[in-house]
Amino acid sequence: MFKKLVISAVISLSIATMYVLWRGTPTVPALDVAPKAIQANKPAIVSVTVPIQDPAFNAYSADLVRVDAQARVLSDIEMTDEDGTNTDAIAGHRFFLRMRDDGTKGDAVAGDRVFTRRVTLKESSGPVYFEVRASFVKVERPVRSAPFAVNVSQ
Amino acid sequence: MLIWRWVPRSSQVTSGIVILDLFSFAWKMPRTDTPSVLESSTSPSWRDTWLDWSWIFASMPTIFTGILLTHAVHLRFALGRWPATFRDYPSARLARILLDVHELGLVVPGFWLTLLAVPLWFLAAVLARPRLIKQTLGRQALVFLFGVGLLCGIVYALSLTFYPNWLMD
Repeated sequence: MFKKLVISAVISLSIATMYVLWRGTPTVPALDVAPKAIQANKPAIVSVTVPIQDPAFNAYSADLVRVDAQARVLSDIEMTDEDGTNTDAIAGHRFFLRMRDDGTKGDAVAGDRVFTRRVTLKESSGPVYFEVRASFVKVERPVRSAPFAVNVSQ
Repeated sequence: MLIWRWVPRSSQVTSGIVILDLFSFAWKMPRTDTPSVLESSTSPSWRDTWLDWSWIFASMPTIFTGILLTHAVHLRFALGRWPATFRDYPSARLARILLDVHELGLVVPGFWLTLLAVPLWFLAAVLARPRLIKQTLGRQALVFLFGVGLLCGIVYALSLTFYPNWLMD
Protein backbone atom coordinates (compact mmCIF):
# COMPACT_ATOMS: atom_id res chain seq x y z
CA MET A 1 0.00 0.00 0.00
CA PHE A 2 2.74 2.46 0.98
CA LYS A 3 4.72 1.63 -2.15
CA LYS A 4 1.69 2.48 -4.33
CA LEU A 5 1.14 5.66 -2.32
CA VAL A 6 4.76 6.79 -2.70
CA ILE A 7 4.83 5.96 -6.42
CA SER A 8 1.58 7.92 -6.96
CA ALA A 9 2.96 10.92 -5.07
CA VAL A 10 6.22 10.84 -7.04
CA ILE A 11 4.33 10.65 -10.38
CA SER A 12 2.03 13.50 -9.34
CA LEU A 13 4.93 15.68 -8.20
CA SER A 14 6.83 14.93 -11.43
CA ILE A 15 3.86 15.98 -13.56
CA ALA A 16 3.42 19.16 -11.47
CA THR A 17 7.14 19.97 -11.78
CA MET A 18 7.06 19.50 -15.56
CA TYR A 19 3.97 21.72 -15.80
CA VAL A 20 5.50 24.48 -13.65
CA LEU A 21 8.75 24.40 -15.66
CA TRP A 22 6.86 24.41 -18.98
CA ARG A 23 4.59 27.26 -17.85
CA GLY A 24 7.56 29.29 -16.63
CA THR A 25 7.93 31.35 -13.50
CA PRO A 26 7.95 35.01 -14.46
CA THR A 27 9.34 37.73 -12.22
CA VAL A 28 8.72 41.44 -11.90
CA PRO A 29 11.98 43.29 -12.64
CA ALA A 30 13.57 45.77 -10.25
CA LEU A 31 11.57 48.95 -9.74
CA ASP A 32 12.85 52.43 -10.35
CA VAL A 33 11.67 54.80 -7.62
CA ALA A 34 12.24 58.55 -7.52
CA PRO A 35 12.79 60.15 -5.12
CA LYS A 36 14.00 57.49 -2.67
CA ALA A 37 13.49 59.77 0.35
CA ILE A 38 10.85 62.36 1.27
CA GLN A 39 10.50 65.01 3.96
CA ALA A 40 8.30 64.19 6.96
CA ASN A 41 4.84 65.83 7.09
CA LYS A 42 5.26 67.42 3.66
CA PRO A 43 3.28 66.18 0.66
CA ALA A 44 5.53 64.57 -1.91
CA ILE A 45 4.99 62.80 -5.20
CA VAL A 46 6.91 59.57 -5.68
CA SER A 47 7.21 58.08 -9.15
CA VAL A 48 7.47 54.30 -9.56
CA THR A 49 8.52 52.74 -12.87
CA VAL A 50 8.81 49.09 -13.82
CA PRO A 51 9.63 47.57 -17.23
CA ILE A 52 7.73 44.32 -17.85
CA GLN A 53 8.75 42.83 -21.21
CA ASP A 54 7.59 39.25 -20.53
CA PRO A 55 5.09 38.32 -23.30
CA ALA A 56 3.04 36.34 -20.75
CA PHE A 57 2.26 39.51 -18.83
CA ASN A 58 -1.40 40.54 -18.78
CA ALA A 59 -1.32 44.21 -19.76
CA TYR A 60 -3.05 46.56 -17.31
CA SER A 61 -2.79 44.14 -14.40
CA ALA A 62 0.22 45.63 -12.63
CA ASP A 63 -0.78 47.23 -9.35
CA LEU A 64 1.24 49.38 -7.01
CA VAL A 65 0.35 48.44 -3.43
CA ARG A 66 1.50 49.71 -0.09
CA VAL A 67 2.78 47.05 2.31
CA ASP A 68 4.30 46.90 5.76
CA ALA A 69 7.81 45.71 6.62
CA GLN A 70 6.61 42.06 6.45
CA ALA A 71 5.12 42.66 2.96
CA ARG A 72 1.53 42.51 4.26
CA VAL A 73 -0.82 44.67 2.17
CA LEU A 74 -2.04 47.70 4.10
CA SER A 75 -5.57 47.47 2.79
CA ASP A 76 -6.97 50.20 5.06
CA ILE A 77 -4.66 52.91 3.70
CA GLU A 78 -6.04 54.73 0.66
CA MET A 79 -3.48 55.45 -2.05
CA THR A 80 -3.87 58.53 -4.21
CA ASP A 81 -2.06 59.68 -7.33
CA GLU A 82 -0.60 63.11 -8.09
CA ASP A 83 -4.14 64.53 -8.49
CA GLY A 84 -5.03 63.41 -4.97
CA THR A 85 -7.56 60.89 -6.35
CA ASN A 86 -7.86 57.18 -6.99
CA THR A 87 -10.22 56.15 -9.78
CA ASP A 88 -8.87 52.59 -10.04
CA ALA A 89 -11.10 51.11 -7.34
CA ILE A 90 -14.32 51.77 -5.47
CA ALA A 91 -14.31 53.35 -2.02
CA GLY A 92 -12.95 51.03 0.63
CA HIS A 93 -10.75 49.18 -1.87
CA ARG A 94 -8.39 51.99 -2.83
CA PHE A 95 -5.28 50.38 -1.39
CA PHE A 96 -3.67 50.10 -4.83
CA LEU A 97 -2.96 52.20 -7.90
CA ARG A 98 -2.87 50.60 -11.34
CA MET A 99 0.42 51.08 -13.18
CA ARG A 100 -0.02 52.88 -16.51
CA ASP A 101 1.48 52.34 -19.95
CA ASP A 102 -0.85 54.66 -21.86
CA GLY A 103 1.21 57.83 -21.76
CA THR A 104 -0.81 59.31 -18.87
CA LYS A 105 -0.34 59.73 -15.11
CA GLY A 106 3.44 60.02 -15.39
CA ASP A 107 4.00 57.36 -18.08
CA ALA A 108 6.39 58.75 -20.70
CA VAL A 109 5.63 56.60 -23.77
CA ALA A 110 2.43 54.69 -24.41
CA GLY A 111 2.75 50.98 -25.27
CA ASP A 112 6.48 50.60 -24.54
CA ARG A 113 5.75 48.07 -21.76
CA VAL A 114 7.34 50.36 -19.22
CA PHE A 115 4.72 50.95 -16.55
CA THR A 116 4.68 54.04 -14.37
CA ARG A 117 2.56 55.55 -11.63
CA ARG A 118 2.94 58.50 -9.31
CA VAL A 119 1.72 58.34 -5.75
CA THR A 120 1.19 61.18 -3.29
CA LEU A 121 2.70 60.64 0.13
CA LYS A 122 2.48 62.67 3.33
CA GLU A 123 4.09 60.71 6.12
CA SER A 124 5.15 61.61 9.64
CA SER A 125 7.56 58.69 9.95
CA GLY A 126 9.02 56.01 7.78
CA PRO A 127 10.16 54.14 5.89
CA VAL A 128 7.16 53.54 3.64
CA TYR A 129 7.13 50.22 1.77
CA PHE A 130 5.65 49.48 -1.65
CA GLU A 131 5.59 46.62 -4.09
CA VAL A 132 4.19 45.92 -7.54
CA ARG A 133 1.94 42.91 -8.15
CA ALA A 134 1.50 41.77 -11.73
CA SER A 135 -0.55 38.98 -13.32
CA PHE A 136 0.85 36.61 -15.91
CA VAL A 137 -0.81 34.09 -18.21
CA LYS A 138 -1.16 30.57 -16.67
CA VAL A 139 0.19 31.78 -13.31
CA GLU A 140 -2.58 31.47 -10.74
CA ARG A 141 -1.44 34.12 -8.28
CA PRO A 142 -0.01 37.55 -9.00
CA VAL A 143 3.75 37.86 -9.07
CA ARG A 144 5.21 40.27 -6.54
CA SER A 145 8.21 42.48 -7.00
CA ALA A 146 10.78 42.72 -4.29
CA PRO A 147 9.46 45.34 -1.83
CA PHE A 148 11.11 48.73 -1.89
CA ALA A 149 11.24 51.42 0.75
CA VAL A 150 10.91 55.19 0.57
CA ASN A 151 12.72 56.77 3.51
CA VAL A 152 11.14 59.59 5.48
CA SER A 153 13.61 62.13 6.84
CA GLN A 154 12.67 64.40 9.76
CA MET B 1 0.24 -8.17 17.88
CA LEU B 2 2.27 -11.40 17.78
CA ILE B 3 0.19 -12.81 20.60
CA TRP B 4 -2.92 -11.84 18.67
CA ARG B 5 -1.85 -14.10 15.80
CA TRP B 6 -1.77 -17.08 18.14
CA VAL B 7 -5.25 -16.55 19.54
CA PRO B 8 -7.71 -18.85 17.74
CA ARG B 9 -10.29 -16.93 15.72
CA SER B 10 -13.20 -18.51 17.60
CA SER B 11 -11.73 -17.38 20.94
CA GLN B 12 -11.30 -13.84 19.68
CA VAL B 13 -14.95 -13.60 18.76
CA THR B 14 -16.25 -15.21 21.91
CA SER B 15 -14.09 -13.12 24.19
CA GLY B 16 -15.22 -9.91 22.53
CA ILE B 17 -11.64 -8.87 21.68
CA VAL B 18 -12.81 -8.36 18.15
CA ILE B 19 -14.04 -4.91 19.25
CA LEU B 20 -10.47 -3.95 20.10
CA ASP B 21 -9.43 -5.34 16.74
CA LEU B 22 -11.80 -2.96 14.98
CA PHE B 23 -10.53 0.08 16.85
CA SER B 24 -6.85 -0.75 16.47
CA PHE B 25 -4.65 1.21 14.12
CA ALA B 26 -5.60 -0.47 10.91
CA TRP B 27 -2.32 -0.95 9.11
CA LYS B 28 -0.57 -2.17 12.25
CA MET B 29 -3.02 -5.04 12.48
CA PRO B 30 -2.30 -8.47 11.06
CA ARG B 31 -4.09 -9.05 7.80
CA THR B 32 -7.14 -11.15 8.54
CA ASP B 33 -7.64 -11.59 4.82
CA THR B 34 -4.30 -13.34 4.32
CA PRO B 35 -5.02 -15.94 1.67
CA SER B 36 -4.40 -19.57 2.14
CA VAL B 37 -2.43 -21.48 -0.48
CA LEU B 38 -5.69 -22.61 -2.01
CA GLU B 39 -7.09 -19.05 -2.18
CA SER B 40 -3.98 -17.59 -3.75
CA SER B 41 -4.21 -20.10 -6.52
CA THR B 42 -7.78 -19.06 -7.26
CA SER B 43 -7.65 -15.28 -6.66
CA PRO B 44 -5.77 -13.22 -9.20
CA SER B 45 -3.13 -10.86 -7.87
CA TRP B 46 -4.92 -7.77 -9.15
CA ARG B 47 -7.46 -8.23 -6.39
CA ASP B 48 -4.62 -7.59 -3.94
CA THR B 49 -3.87 -4.41 -5.84
CA TRP B 50 -7.47 -3.28 -5.49
CA LEU B 51 -7.40 -4.20 -1.82
CA ASP B 52 -4.42 -1.86 -1.42
CA TRP B 53 -6.23 0.87 -3.33
CA SER B 54 -9.30 0.47 -1.14
CA TRP B 55 -7.02 1.12 1.86
CA ILE B 56 -5.53 4.15 0.16
CA PHE B 57 -8.94 5.63 -0.69
CA ALA B 58 -10.21 4.94 2.83
CA SER B 59 -7.10 6.70 4.17
CA MET B 60 -7.44 9.71 1.85
CA PRO B 61 -8.83 12.12 4.50
CA THR B 62 -5.88 11.25 6.78
CA ILE B 63 -3.40 11.56 3.92
CA PHE B 64 -4.93 14.89 2.84
CA THR B 65 -4.69 16.17 6.41
CA GLY B 66 -0.95 15.51 6.28
CA ILE B 67 -0.64 17.18 2.88
CA LEU B 68 -2.60 20.22 4.08
CA LEU B 69 -0.49 20.58 7.20
CA THR B 70 2.80 20.35 5.31
CA HIS B 71 1.55 22.85 2.72
CA ALA B 72 0.44 25.30 5.42
CA VAL B 73 3.83 25.04 7.12
CA HIS B 74 5.60 25.36 3.74
CA LEU B 75 3.65 28.56 2.93
CA ARG B 76 4.27 29.94 6.42
CA PHE B 77 8.03 29.51 6.03
CA ALA B 78 8.08 30.76 2.43
CA LEU B 79 6.18 33.95 3.30
CA GLY B 80 7.74 34.38 6.74
CA ARG B 81 4.21 34.85 8.11
CA TRP B 82 0.70 33.54 7.56
CA PRO B 83 -1.02 34.83 4.41
CA ALA B 84 -2.88 38.06 5.02
CA THR B 85 -4.77 38.46 1.74
CA PHE B 86 -6.21 36.13 -0.87
CA ARG B 87 -3.41 36.73 -3.37
CA ASP B 88 -0.47 36.59 -1.00
CA TYR B 89 2.49 34.67 -2.37
CA PRO B 90 6.25 34.77 -1.86
CA SER B 91 8.19 37.00 -4.22
CA ALA B 92 11.31 34.80 -4.51
CA ARG B 93 11.31 32.69 -7.67
CA LEU B 94 12.50 29.39 -6.16
CA ALA B 95 10.03 29.68 -3.28
CA ARG B 96 7.21 30.17 -5.80
CA ILE B 97 8.29 27.17 -7.89
CA LEU B 98 8.45 24.90 -4.83
CA LEU B 99 5.07 26.10 -3.55
CA ASP B 100 3.49 25.68 -7.00
CA VAL B 101 4.82 22.12 -7.26
CA HIS B 102 3.63 21.33 -3.72
CA GLU B 103 0.18 22.77 -4.42
CA LEU B 104 -0.34 21.35 -7.92
CA GLY B 105 1.37 18.03 -7.24
CA LEU B 106 -0.05 17.15 -3.83
CA VAL B 107 -2.72 19.55 -2.55
CA VAL B 108 -4.89 19.66 -5.68
CA PRO B 109 -4.92 15.87 -6.34
CA GLY B 110 -5.27 15.25 -2.60
CA PHE B 111 -8.27 17.56 -2.42
CA TRP B 112 -10.09 15.92 -5.34
CA LEU B 113 -9.22 12.38 -4.26
CA THR B 114 -10.56 13.17 -0.78
CA LEU B 115 -13.77 14.53 -2.27
CA LEU B 116 -14.12 11.40 -4.42
CA ALA B 117 -12.77 9.04 -1.76
CA VAL B 118 -16.07 7.34 -0.91
CA PRO B 119 -17.10 6.28 -4.46
CA LEU B 120 -13.51 5.31 -5.31
CA TRP B 121 -13.20 3.36 -2.09
CA PHE B 122 -16.40 1.41 -2.80
CA LEU B 123 -15.33 0.80 -6.37
CA ALA B 124 -11.99 -0.58 -5.20
CA ALA B 125 -13.78 -2.61 -2.51
CA VAL B 126 -16.13 -4.15 -5.07
CA LEU B 127 -13.23 -5.04 -7.38
CA ALA B 128 -11.30 -6.55 -4.47
CA ARG B 129 -14.41 -8.20 -3.06
CA PRO B 130 -13.33 -11.84 -2.72
CA ARG B 131 -10.26 -10.65 -0.81
CA LEU B 132 -11.98 -7.95 1.18
CA ILE B 133 -13.83 -9.42 4.09
CA LYS B 134 -16.48 -7.54 6.05
CA GLN B 135 -14.17 -6.95 8.99
CA THR B 136 -11.54 -5.27 6.80
CA LEU B 137 -14.24 -3.06 5.32
CA GLY B 138 -15.25 -2.11 8.87
CA ARG B 139 -11.67 -1.18 9.69
CA GLN B 140 -11.41 0.89 6.54
CA ALA B 141 -14.62 2.69 7.53
CA LEU B 142 -13.11 3.48 10.92
CA VAL B 143 -9.92 4.77 9.31
CA PHE B 144 -12.02 6.92 6.98
CA LEU B 145 -14.08 8.37 9.85
CA PHE B 146 -10.92 8.97 11.88
CA GLY B 147 -9.44 10.82 8.89
CA VAL B 148 -12.55 12.96 8.42
CA GLY B 149 -12.48 13.91 12.11
CA LEU B 150 -8.77 14.68 11.94
CA LEU B 151 -9.25 16.77 8.80
CA CYS B 152 -12.07 18.77 10.40
CA GLY B 153 -9.92 19.39 13.49
CA ILE B 154 -6.91 20.52 11.46
CA VAL B 155 -9.01 22.77 9.21
CA TYR B 156 -10.58 24.30 12.33
CA ALA B 157 -7.12 24.90 13.82
CA LEU B 158 -5.85 26.40 10.56
CA SER B 159 -8.94 28.62 10.28
CA LEU B 160 -7.45 30.67 13.11
CA THR B 161 -5.13 31.92 10.35
CA PHE B 162 -6.14 33.13 6.88
CA TYR B 163 -4.74 29.96 5.29
CA PRO B 164 -8.04 28.11 4.49
CA ASN B 165 -9.50 31.23 2.81
CA TRP B 166 -6.25 31.75 0.93
CA LEU B 167 -6.22 28.13 -0.28
CA MET B 168 -9.83 28.11 -1.43
CA ASP B 169 -9.44 31.35 -3.40
